[in-house]
Amino acid sequence: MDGSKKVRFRQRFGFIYTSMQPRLDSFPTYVYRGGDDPKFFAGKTVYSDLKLIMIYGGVDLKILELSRFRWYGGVNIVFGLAKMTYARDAHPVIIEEDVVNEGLGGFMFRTSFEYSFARRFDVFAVLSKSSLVGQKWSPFYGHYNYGIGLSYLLIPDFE
Amino acid sequence: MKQFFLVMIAVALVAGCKKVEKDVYNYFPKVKTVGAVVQPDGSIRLTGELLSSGAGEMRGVGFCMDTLPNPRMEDNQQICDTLFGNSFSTLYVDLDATRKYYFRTWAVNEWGYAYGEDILVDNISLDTSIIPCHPAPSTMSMTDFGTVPIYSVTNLEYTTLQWECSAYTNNGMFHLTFYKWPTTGVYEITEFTSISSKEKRFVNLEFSQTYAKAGKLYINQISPTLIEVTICEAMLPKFNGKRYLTARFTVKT
Repeated sequence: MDGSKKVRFRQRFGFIYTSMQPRLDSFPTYVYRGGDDPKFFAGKTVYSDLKLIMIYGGVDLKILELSRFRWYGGVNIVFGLAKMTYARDAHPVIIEEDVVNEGLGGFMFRTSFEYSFARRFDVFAVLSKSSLVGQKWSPFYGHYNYGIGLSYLLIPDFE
Repeated sequence: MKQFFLVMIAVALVAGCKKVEKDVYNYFPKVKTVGAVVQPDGSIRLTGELLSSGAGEMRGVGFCMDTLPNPRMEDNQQICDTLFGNSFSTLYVDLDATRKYYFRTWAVNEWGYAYGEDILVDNISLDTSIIPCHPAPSTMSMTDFGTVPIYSVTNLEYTTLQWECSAYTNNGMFHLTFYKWPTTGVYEITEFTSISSKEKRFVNLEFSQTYAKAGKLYINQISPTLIEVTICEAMLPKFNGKRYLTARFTVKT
């Protein structure tokens, strides 16, 4: 490989589908009824069928390259949809169940470490942080993703 | 378009700064039921402590109570508006001394709520040392009349949001009207016969078609079917002055 021909930026596009699990079987939520006799009513909310479907695109900057090892940092623009079902029960004030679909938009910051162990084959470890803005249900979605994987380069950019 | 993306980046960075709690229960407040102390008049002073407000803005603290363990937040709820440091307190009155009660604290923030531990109270009683007069059992004393025995007391009867009984002596009878079920406690004697729901610790005492204007009445629940009544210095107006009635007797319920 000729160092003068190394590509420092690369474009990334992708699709994310995440099926999430709530951290509690039921969340201790409540309802407040104001007026002359204000009162808090204990209840619970059960979330299910939580899904995130997003597409993203952006650029990665190669921060470091040592022999077969490469370190990238990058940012992506993300758009997508969040879907979930919830059942809220604060008897006798409110009992409801609904499905919420919400549009999302924001950014995903990512860093990855990659190692080429064969021509066109890399192993990688990636950590990303998504910061998204929702339309109605939750103003902010922020979450981390991390993982390891194996990639096959259809069009190697080193040649 | 450029401005839109700048705004999006700013919002995303702000959102990205929001701390994620490793333990999901850290989002919710933590609260402790500190104590329940029976007061001399049979009421109960509850105290609680807010250990943590959790990861969100506090919305309220208070107590709940029931005759079964683990009362729910809305059961006989009392909201405490003031925190003294991290402590808060309230008073439960008009409790039936023949029953046991479970109390616990609760706290709510923007994410949800949490309870403190249950405290059982089964020793409600009137501290008789707070009664300033000491008439003999089943007697009535009145200015000018001296002390006479009470030879008969009717059972406590319920009539349209009132509980009534009458006590008979050789010098006449007097009639009591309660505006709540007479549980252990101290009651104000009043001549007013229209008592609002917030003034239920008042009682009417009628003697010879005259209502007592002032005085105190002490109830001590001896058993689920028997209460002891002590009346101290019930002031009865008369033609050219006033006289005082003092009495002590038991009533079947």
